[in-house]
Amino acid sequence: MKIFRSRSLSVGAAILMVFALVAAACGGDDGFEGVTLKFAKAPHGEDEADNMAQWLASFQEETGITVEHTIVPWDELEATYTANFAGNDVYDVTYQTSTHLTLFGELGAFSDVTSRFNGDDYSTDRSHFPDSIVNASVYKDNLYGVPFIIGTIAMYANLDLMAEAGITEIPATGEELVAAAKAIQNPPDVWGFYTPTTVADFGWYFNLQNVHNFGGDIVSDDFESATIDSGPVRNATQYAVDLICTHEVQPRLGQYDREGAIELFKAGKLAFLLDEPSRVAVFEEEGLPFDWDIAQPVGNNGNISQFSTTGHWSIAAKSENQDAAWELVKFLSSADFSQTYNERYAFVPARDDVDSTGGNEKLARNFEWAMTTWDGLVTHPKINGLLDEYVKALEAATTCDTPVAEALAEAQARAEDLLARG
Amino acid sequence: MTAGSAAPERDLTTDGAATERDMTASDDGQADSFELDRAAFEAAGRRRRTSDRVRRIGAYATLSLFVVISVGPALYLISPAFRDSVSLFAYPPEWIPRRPTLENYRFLFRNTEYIRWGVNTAVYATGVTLVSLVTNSLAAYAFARLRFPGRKVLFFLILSTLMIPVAAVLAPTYLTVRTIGGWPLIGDWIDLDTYGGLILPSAVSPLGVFMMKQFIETLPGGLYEAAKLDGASEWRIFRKIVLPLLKPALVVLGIFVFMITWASYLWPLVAATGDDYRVLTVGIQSLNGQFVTNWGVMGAAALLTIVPVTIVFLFFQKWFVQASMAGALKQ
Amino acid sequence: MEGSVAAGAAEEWAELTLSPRQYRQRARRYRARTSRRAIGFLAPYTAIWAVFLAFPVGWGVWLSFNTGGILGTRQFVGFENWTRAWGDTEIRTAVRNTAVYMVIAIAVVFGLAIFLASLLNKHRRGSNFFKLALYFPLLAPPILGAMMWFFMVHFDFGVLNLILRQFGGAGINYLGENPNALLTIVAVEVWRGLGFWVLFYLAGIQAVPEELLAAGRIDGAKAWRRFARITVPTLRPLLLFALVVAIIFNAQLFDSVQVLTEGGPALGTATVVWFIFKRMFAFQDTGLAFATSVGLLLVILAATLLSFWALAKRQAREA
Repeated sequence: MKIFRSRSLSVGAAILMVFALVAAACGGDDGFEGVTLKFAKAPHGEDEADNMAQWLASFQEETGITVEHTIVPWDELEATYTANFAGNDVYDVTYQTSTHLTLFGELGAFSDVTSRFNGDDYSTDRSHFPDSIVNASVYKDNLYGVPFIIGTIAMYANLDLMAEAGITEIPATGEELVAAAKAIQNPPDVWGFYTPTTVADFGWYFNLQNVHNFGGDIVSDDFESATIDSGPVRNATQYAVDLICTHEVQPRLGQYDREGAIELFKAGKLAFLLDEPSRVAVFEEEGLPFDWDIAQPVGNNGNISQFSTTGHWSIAAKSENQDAAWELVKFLSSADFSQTYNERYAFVPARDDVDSTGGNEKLARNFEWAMTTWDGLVTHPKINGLLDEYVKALEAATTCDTPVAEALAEAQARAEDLLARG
Repeated sequence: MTAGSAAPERDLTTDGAATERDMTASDDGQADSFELDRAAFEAAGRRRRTSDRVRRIGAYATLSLFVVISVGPALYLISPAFRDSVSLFAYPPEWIPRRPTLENYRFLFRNTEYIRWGVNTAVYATGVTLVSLVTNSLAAYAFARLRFPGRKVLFFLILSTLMIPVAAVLAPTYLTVRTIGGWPLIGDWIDLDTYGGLILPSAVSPLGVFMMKQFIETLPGGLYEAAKLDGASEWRIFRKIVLPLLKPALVVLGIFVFMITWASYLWPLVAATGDDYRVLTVGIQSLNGQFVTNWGVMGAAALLTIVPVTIVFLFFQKWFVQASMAGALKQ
Repeated sequence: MEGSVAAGAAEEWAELTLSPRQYRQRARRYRARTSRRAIGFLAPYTAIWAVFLAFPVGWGVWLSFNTGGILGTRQFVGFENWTRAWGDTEIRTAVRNTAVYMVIAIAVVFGLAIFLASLLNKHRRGSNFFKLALYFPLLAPPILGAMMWFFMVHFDFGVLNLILRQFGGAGINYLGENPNALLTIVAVEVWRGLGFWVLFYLAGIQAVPEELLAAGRIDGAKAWRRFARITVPTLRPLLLFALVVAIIFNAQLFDSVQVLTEGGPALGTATVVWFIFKRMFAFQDTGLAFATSVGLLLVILAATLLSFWALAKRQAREA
């Protein structure tokens, strides 16, 4: 308030601002009446279509904008978005993760929202987005979407199975996890551990935190060179392979996919499971017949980090209603919506003024981990391709047929080719 | 004598049911027919009848096994379709739903656009079928009955695209439809996310032209010549004389095109990106994914989709079989 | 009376005896007239064919020398896509998988189909029922068929493993190991195609003259020799054509891969079309996808021409 010379001036300014806001709001009303926006998102739950209809009702009422919501399945997302963004009638607003944000963005699919995001009329909201999160979403000074959530990973533990085996503490290191899983498991009735390692189940998402904990990454910070075939990545990948092939605490590849493992855990036949915290609400709602808890995924040598991607709201460059789309993005990025959404799907909001844990103690802890050890994916047009090369190597190695070194060497060569291309 | 000659004769009438052991028996019968005493022959006959029966049982058992394999997977769907997903993991397995539920169907109709997908599929497949029938029979008539320069070259060009897979031309076809979609007027009808854009690129297969041409060429030429001498126009001849005779071929082609179209996945996936024009194959596959995998619902959707086709199939079985052969044997 | 007829004939004759110039003129006019009529009949199909098939084929060839073009701007890069496609390790895997898949699937489905067709030919009672039942899998779109098989081969609740476990087995990992995954895909595709090929070969076998078989029987030829010496040679022209058609269909394997394995494990079921699909959309590596598409196109075109040749040969033999 130093910029105002007297108190009366600041009061006057405040009154003016209120007027301006009201005027802007009214103007918005008139300006967007009758506009229809197409909105598409890959789902975080099978009830998402219903929920969205409910949550978007107030927005539609207030602005007069009609929102048509389409669910785009994860498996068909790339083909659908490519076809849509290249077409003549695009989705105005879409949900995009770090992997696709700049892939599509740099090909001209999205509007750069930098100026709107940093604009004066958004400054209050803007101040609530931590720079660390925003910076990971910026590529060459372009921001192709407003950060919405960061999806973290939690380790779900079946406390009853642990108690039966005389284990009192949820494992915190790799060695402890192997020991505990071995003590508990009794395959095929009870398995020790599960984390997805396949291309189809986004295996990289669940294993990169381990790569980071071992002190490495799949690409150099400047995206100049691939580092897939490096010591830390080899060690981290070997750890994942050993769980399946050597220690045999995790079911063989293909026996259970990600959703299958969820069912396995729900049935009380799995001790430890890596998945997104979004299952907390689902498990609590269904009332699992045993005691369970979540913990941070195990670390290495005291390193424990929270890997994640960021989800964004993007505006299509071809959208004919850029301003209306921005209104929708503002609504979807608001603290209120973020709270509503994450109370249901339990992601960590990308803004710091939202408590979406709803008093849930487990989620509060998850929130805390994200705030203290977050180590998110930096967006890049080639990151999806690099992750694909890594996860193909991971999948090959976890079939137990291909040695880790061989799989990573092939991925390294392909990743170098990818980076060398213009 | 009579007994001896009976063996080979019988062989001729059993319509291919003869077996290796039959052959040895009839060899004996032929070579030693005069010396063969009645008891020995009767023994051979009994042996053959038993071995016939064994072979027949074996054959029908084999055929039945393959019937089970063919129909089994679809029949089994009844089980998961009326159970919740959790019970799939029950041990011992629950073959027959203990507590049958309609929950999967409730979900399908309430939480997905299943009905819309079904309507879209019907419009899509019917549209492609109608367009194909009309355009293919007209073109086939021209190729079969009219003489014009470049006829052979054009026909060969068209025919050489007979087997072009959708996947190989997916992107350029997409770009073509997108380009047309950007044009005034016509773009309102033929664009991505329109029925026109969905239907026309699926109605390009020359198979129908080829099939109908072959068929028209087998029609008696006399009628055609007579009509021509009467001064009837080609259009009139086509409509009044050729078309009525084409009916069976049109039914076969129609079923064939319909079956191919409603089963297609790749083109509808990229040509329709929203629920407004999404078809069943794309819609049902979308039930099989991250965060939404619900095997009960998948089973329910698959079962519900296959039932109406099966009913239609049972009514028009003869046509179906002919239609499937049309692609290969007619050639 | 007679005179008038003769006069009429003479007039017609006069009209028919044209000078070479007149003849060419009339012929041209006649051709123009029939061509005009033909255009009306040809236009609807040819227009759709030219715009939505022939033109895209040409455009596809042109695109294979470019990058971009779907999203992003198109850029001419000469033969770069082709050299990249040639050297790409993943596409080699995809081509190998597709080839292995085709060889096994076609061998199995043809073997079974000829076997079942000869059974159906011998045992005619109830054969209509068997034909219909075998045909049934063709009713379901490939996506649905693969989904049905998902309930068969799932490691935990798949019917096949449930049955195995009833007999004390541990269960087979159908989709998570190599080469199991590819063999499972083969099984699904054989299941789907079997009915078609049974009917196809049944029609072929029934075309084998009965007298030939009967003569063989009188000669005392054993059943399998009759089959090898009489039935198979009669089927041979059919076989070549069937083989080409089967190659063309199977080269496009995609739907069941998309539902069951998504190319895994370790690219064990990554097929050519799967590769094109992934490169085109997931990684926006359109150049590589275009080049691979055209490569597939050329192979299919060659196979199509081969099938025409096989057909022509068959027709020549029949005539």
